[in-house]
Amino acid sequence: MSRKRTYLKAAKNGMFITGTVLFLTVLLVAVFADRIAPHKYDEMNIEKAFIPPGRAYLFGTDEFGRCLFSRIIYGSRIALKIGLMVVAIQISVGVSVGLLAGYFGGKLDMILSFITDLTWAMPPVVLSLAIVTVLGPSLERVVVSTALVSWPGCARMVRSKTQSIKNMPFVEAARALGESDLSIIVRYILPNTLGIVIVLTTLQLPGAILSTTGLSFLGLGSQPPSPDWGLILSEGVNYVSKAPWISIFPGLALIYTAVGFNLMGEGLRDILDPRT
Amino acid sequence: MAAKLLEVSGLEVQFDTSSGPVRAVRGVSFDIAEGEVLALVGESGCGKSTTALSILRLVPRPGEITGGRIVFDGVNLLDLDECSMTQYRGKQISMIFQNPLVALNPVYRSGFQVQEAVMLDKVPPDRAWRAALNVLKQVRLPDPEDRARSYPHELSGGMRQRVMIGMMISRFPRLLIADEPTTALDVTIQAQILDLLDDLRHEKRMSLLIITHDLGVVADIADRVGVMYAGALVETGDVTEVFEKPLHPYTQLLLKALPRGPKNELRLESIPGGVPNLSNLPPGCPFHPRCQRRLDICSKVEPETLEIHPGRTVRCHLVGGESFWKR
Repeated sequence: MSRKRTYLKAAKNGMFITGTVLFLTVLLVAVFADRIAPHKYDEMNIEKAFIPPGRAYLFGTDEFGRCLFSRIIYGSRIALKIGLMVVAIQISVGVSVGLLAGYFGGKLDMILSFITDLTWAMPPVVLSLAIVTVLGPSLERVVVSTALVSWPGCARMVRSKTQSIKNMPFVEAARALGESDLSIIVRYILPNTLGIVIVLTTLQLPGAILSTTGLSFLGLGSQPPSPDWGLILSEGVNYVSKAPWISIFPGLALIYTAVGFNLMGEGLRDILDPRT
Repeated sequence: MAAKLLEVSGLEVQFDTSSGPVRAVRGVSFDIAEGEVLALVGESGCGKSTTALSILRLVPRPGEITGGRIVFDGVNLLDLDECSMTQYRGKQISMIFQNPLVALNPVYRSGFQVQEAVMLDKVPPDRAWRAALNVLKQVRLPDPEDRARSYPHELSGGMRQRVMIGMMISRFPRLLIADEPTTALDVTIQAQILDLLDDLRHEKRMSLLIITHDLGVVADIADRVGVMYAGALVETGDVTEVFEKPLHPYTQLLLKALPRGPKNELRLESIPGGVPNLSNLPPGCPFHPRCQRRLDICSKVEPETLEIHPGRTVRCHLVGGESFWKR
């Protein structure tokens, strides 16, 4: 009755369907980038620079005559990779800190919340700047530094959710049943926070892509000739009056991906909630 | 009478609140024999639930057990570390909670939750699942196979309470604490659940500690009863004895407040006044401001617990003092 119902709920949820379709197209494009892209992402042809979007070049070409369509297609790989990496780090740190602080409370909560607030106060761009200036620009460093400053939001939400769940009678019942603290956290509290964690993941993912792209835009992350969407955007800025399509298309690609994830997340939350 | 399974003596529980410590349980002593049903009754806020939670050492913070002994099967539970205490919870002593509507984990199927409970005893999953279905049959859940695959929100209140009871008895505890097991349920379901508890106690020789404010429940199922007022036990004894000859004025008033007999014949009485604030108890006997038969001494000295005969105690100046024998 229930599994079938979950599928049914998914099939009826317009937001989820739309989001999934958007996400799947990005995923497919990323996986089959070599097949779909008509050119290599770093294939230059100076004679064909600044060709506007048209039949020959779907999205036009940039100042080196590189096919923008191909670059954006290859860029989807980078976008997905950094997005997933940032979110994976940030969710695992955030959820663990939130669960521990919320469940045990007291001194541990005070210490963890202090660290959380401290991190929260750190401007991500400045921290990334610092890390990258010391270690040199690279995409991985940007990913790690973005993740390291973006977990507090997740930790706070999980903490407050944990605090409300740990006082629910079923947790008390679990304790009366003889469950240990660890199994109460893992089996009783974590699954009940999963709803917000999933939504957070899908909401943070576009944010993560955007902020790493932002750092690439500033020249801290990916280096040319990488087809990173942020990098393409920033390269296009110099020619924005002459060839606006260079900046417009990577921007649209970003929006497409971000909207897809958001819709999927909202839909997933509705579907996974056994009470709706 | 069988051997004592649980002996609580001089239990003290204190809550540290911002307005100073509150003594929620004040020197409560009682015992339960194997296969016996003891009911603790009293108004809300009299410390009966706290007493029950203390036995499992689950008094929520800022509450703390500050004194007394809780001896279960020869072991003082208050001496155990948290880890050995976990061995007692669920396996030896289990507890049914007041509100079955929220006492099950909303994200798991009901059968899985019972299975999980069984698996705490290191039973392999397939055997645990069969045991879970068996238990659900025992608590007379209709269509156990089907219901076991339902989520808690898909079950009615009565069914959830059955699943809850099933989960709690799945490891065959020797003492089952039921904290207002029927309060949240309607009257017909209430009777069924009480019947079920009664059967379980006979079949499994389980001891029961029932916490309730409903004297009807007490009369239905309990062997012995303890009446609590403002954190202290004011009267204990066999149910028939207490119901026929209540000694403490509070018990007498409680019994008068119980609806019985044909309609219109009796006016239901209520007890004047309200429950005293535990952080600011009146001097002397905490019940004296509401007591219709108070003596001068009542507002000055708190009465001692007096044992009239084994298993029958009362805590009142009217009993045992000169006035009692003169009457």
